[in-house]
Amino acid sequence: MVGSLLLAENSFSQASARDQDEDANSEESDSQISGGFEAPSLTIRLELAGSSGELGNKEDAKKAKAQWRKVCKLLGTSLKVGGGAWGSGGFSSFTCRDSRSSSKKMKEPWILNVKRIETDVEVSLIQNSRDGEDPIEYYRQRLPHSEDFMQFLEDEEFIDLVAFAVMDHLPFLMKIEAKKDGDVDSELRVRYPRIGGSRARKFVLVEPPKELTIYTMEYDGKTGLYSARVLGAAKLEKMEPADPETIRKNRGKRNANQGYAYYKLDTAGAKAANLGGVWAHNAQGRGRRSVELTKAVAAANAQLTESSKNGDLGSLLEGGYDLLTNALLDTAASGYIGVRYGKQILAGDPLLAKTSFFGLLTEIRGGPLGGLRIYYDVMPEAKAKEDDLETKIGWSRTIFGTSLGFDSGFLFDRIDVTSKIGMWTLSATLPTEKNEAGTTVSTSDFKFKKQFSFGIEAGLEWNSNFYLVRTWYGFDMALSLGKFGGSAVKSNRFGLDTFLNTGPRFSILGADLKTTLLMFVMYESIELSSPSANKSETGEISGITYDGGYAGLGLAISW
Amino acid sequence: MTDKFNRLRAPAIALFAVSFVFAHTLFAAEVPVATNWVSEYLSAPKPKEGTFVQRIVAVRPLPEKGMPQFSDINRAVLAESTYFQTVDPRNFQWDLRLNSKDDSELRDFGFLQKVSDADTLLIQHGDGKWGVRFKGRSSDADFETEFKMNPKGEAKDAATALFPLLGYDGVILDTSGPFVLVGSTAKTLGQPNIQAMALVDSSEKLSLKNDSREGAGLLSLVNVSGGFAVFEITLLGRGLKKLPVGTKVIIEKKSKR
Repeated sequence: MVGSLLLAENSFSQASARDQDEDANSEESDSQISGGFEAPSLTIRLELAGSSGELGNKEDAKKAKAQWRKVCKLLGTSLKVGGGAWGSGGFSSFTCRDSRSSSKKMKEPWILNVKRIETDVEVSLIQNSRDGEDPIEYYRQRLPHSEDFMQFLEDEEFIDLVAFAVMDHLPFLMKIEAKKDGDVDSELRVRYPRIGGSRARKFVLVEPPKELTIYTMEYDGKTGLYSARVLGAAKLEKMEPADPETIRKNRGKRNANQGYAYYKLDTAGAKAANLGGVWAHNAQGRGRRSVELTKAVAAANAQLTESSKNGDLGSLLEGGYDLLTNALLDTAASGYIGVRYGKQILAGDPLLAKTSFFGLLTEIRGGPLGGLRIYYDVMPEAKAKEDDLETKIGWSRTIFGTSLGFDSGFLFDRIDVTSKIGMWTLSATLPTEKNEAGTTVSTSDFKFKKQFSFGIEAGLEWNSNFYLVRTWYGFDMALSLGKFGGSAVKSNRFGLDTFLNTGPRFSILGADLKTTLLMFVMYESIELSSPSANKSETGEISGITYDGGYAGLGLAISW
Repeated sequence: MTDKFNRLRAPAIALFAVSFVFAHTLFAAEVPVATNWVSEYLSAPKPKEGTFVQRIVAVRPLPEKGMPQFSDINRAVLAESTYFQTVDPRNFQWDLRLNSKDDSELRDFGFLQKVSDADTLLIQHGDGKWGVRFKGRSSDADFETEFKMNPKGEAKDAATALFPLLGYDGVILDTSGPFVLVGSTAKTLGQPNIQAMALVDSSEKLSLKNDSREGAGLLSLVNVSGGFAVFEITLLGRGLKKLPVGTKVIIEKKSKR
């Protein structure tokens, strides 16, 4: 797929529709589509706690008001053009009103009412724009009221579900906006319902319509009827949910990529959709999924209510961990483990030229241990003879790190900072003095055993489905206060890691695993100091700095 | 005085003659061409006066489940052979899906007529049996009947069969000075130099089968376009100044020789 015609983001594919058979109505979409029914504005009357300031406590009232505003905004946004699940949404704008609004404002053309009626909450949508007649009620559903209902409405997955159910009952499910670049697309891309702040989808996934009808229409204020001109059709081609890793990564983010569904437009539909300003709806008609959708909304509300009663609503909505097993499962659900091997690439030093580097790394990306990184790096002991003096070096370090990452919003996909603690073991005999002829005349021993280390690392990341490139800088320092008191090792290093998701995928015990090729290059400058270092003719030598550069390959398995 | 009159007489006569020719030329140029008038008529909103068949939707008997099915009547043939306007099945079916609350509304002929804005519903029962359901602006004009025709009959036959049920041959759709645009069938209008009689007080009646047919005016054919024709009013009944839209006409049928 090269790209696609996207409802909410107005992006279009280059896939051509010109080769397809001409549809009988294709000539209708050749001309500019204009006039007809335009996306109306919506009034949301949210008459629940917080809307009228009835809460006595000033602080509570303030909090409730903020919640009311948030909920109204979430609802309105999901009902706006391109704002809802599966591309749904047909309103140009929305206004929030509470129970104190005047009765005059009850006559606004389109009103979504959310109000408490005895032990229920009623969600209804009416159209008032009928000359002198009663309003047309397109949608009404009553749900058992819960004290936490406003909190339910803060959940994007629940909001998406309610908004989609409402839109399905209207004469317009979605609006396709005008295309900008003039190319003809034969594909329409719509987004999956969001999951909000939770770790996974909580409710049964309501699927997108199998087929869409694309049309323009006019509204007759006298009869209250819509008169349409059918322009084309689109068939659901495929559904591609984001992989669990991406979903977890994006959780809680608005408009995060949680997958897309793709529709194949027929020729006439493609032309019409690319001109924009056209409507689309389930080809079965409005409200034909009423039973399915109202059931889904009721089931979701029941699930949230049950959670609220059990006191674990927060866990359900925010991905908290009500059970240890959940936490463990989630921890095990995402991460990677890999090995890498690198060779010295800096020439010159006869000892360092013989060194190589082996590493084992693992990262947990989900659950309460999310962000945990474990490194075990080994430099196998290398030996060299320098002017009849034997030199050697070898070390190992075990490091635990915890990473905090965030989207930068521009340039990079992610910035992370990792704080690290660990242990170093090092044994080296290194040249510390040379004469005027450049001959090594003395060496010093440096030894550290399981020295406590701490450090910090910062990384910048660019990623896609196929690769991840990360450049990083790290500083570590190990100090010994015990047997080798006074010994210290400082490491400054930076590097570039490239992960290519090109390896085969396979499954073990039901877990979907993929192999990733790792290529890395790094530079490290290590400063060693030790009170046990030799004394030279010119004085006491207590430290040495050596630089190493490594490049290599690795293999990782992620899940 | 006489000389002066004589001197002016010749130029006056000449001026009168020129004016007559000029006026006649102008008058002759105003004779409407049927095709142009029809285009204008079809692009305008439906007339708000008169009760007559204008917009037709032809369906099969309503099924217990699913969408109403359209008759196999050929819309193009119907459009060529009559003045009736028909409903586009694809748009109409989608209108039904958009405007119906649920499937129960799709079982109601009244709802079908309301959504399609069709005054006349033709129901193809099969075996040549058809039903007609006319819904006027007032319930007084509502009309229901049935007719039979050759089961192999086409759209043009259905139209031809409809008029005898109503008791006339055509209807005045529009007026312009001494001319009227009459809607009928191409078959009826396809005879040369025919005349027609407009029927008095018939504009708001759909069926005249049981009514007396008093002439309101005499019309002469000017030109024809399919199921439409321009007639010139050659004679108006006493006390009448015009023939209103919706006035029914009986058209001369010449026997074939």
